[in-house]
Amino acid sequence: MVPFSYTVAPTAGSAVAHVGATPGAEYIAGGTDMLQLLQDGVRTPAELVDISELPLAEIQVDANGARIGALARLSDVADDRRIQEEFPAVAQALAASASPQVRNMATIGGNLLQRTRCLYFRDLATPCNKREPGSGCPAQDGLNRMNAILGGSTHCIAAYPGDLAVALVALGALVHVIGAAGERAMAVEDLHQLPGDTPHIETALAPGELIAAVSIPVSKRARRSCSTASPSPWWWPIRWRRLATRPIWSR
Amino acid sequence: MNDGKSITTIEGLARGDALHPLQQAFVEHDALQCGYCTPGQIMSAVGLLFEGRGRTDAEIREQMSGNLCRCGAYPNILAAVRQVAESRG
Repeated sequence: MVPFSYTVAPTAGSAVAHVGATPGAEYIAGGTDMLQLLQDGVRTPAELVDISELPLAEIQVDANGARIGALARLSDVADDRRIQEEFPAVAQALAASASPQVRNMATIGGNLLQRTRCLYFRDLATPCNKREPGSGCPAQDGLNRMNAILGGSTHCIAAYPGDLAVALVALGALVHVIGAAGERAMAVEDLHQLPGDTPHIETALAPGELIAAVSIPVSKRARRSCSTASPSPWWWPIRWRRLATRPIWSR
Repeated sequence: MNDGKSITTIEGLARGDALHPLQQAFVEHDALQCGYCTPGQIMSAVGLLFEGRGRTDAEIREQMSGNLCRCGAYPNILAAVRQVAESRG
């Protein structure tokens, strides 16, 4: 782990401006993925900007749908009765994620931006086109049981490991982002990028942009959604995909 | 990030020589061998009980799933946590 400075963001706006203008400055919220990446040396920020106390943790549910703050803890969202009733696939995906201790620390925004668990990405001793463009992809013919079977390329077959995002995509959710030009929204489906020949570009976010919230429209389909999972939460790559029940099953 | 918050560690559970009920249950059920994972096991159990969870064996297992035990004391860990969970009603 290389030394870094630590600052607390006073407001979302100032954080966005600072991180967007400062190479080497990165966000930290729950820190459950960031800490591992720091310890492995995969990420070497010069400065960590702590956004965990910003007022972006509220879970709002009304007749139109839910707006879940990006800093809401996974366990708070999973335990929310309204989310369990209206968007069971989301609650179930969260309840099956990681472990209780991690769920109490990890945030919704961080969960969406978590990095791949490809063995080679997280091991500095091996080449990796995602970490170092052009260095190669040992996963292609290597230990790749946990890597992607759909969407990969000859440059990268890293799989996205999160379950929440799959449920959100199935339910047509949007992610709301604060940037230098203000707030914008995009479909969760458009947040993550396929590797193609630029595996080092993982999301549609511009430098400094901060996820503020996720919104999910209410629907009969959402209310009847479910997340099915393999018995062990640790084998995330071979889980069944999240399903919204088809219209023929709704009354 | 936890600046200003109150943190309780394993050393803070016992009241002098009086063991916390979970510590006592771990001893009674032989829920440890080398003891390396034990502080974490007990603190996780404290957490899950504080949150009102652990009404079934399945729930206890899932709530304790973040703590690994290389000595394999799991059945006894489960029994110890179950005992304290049941005694709390």
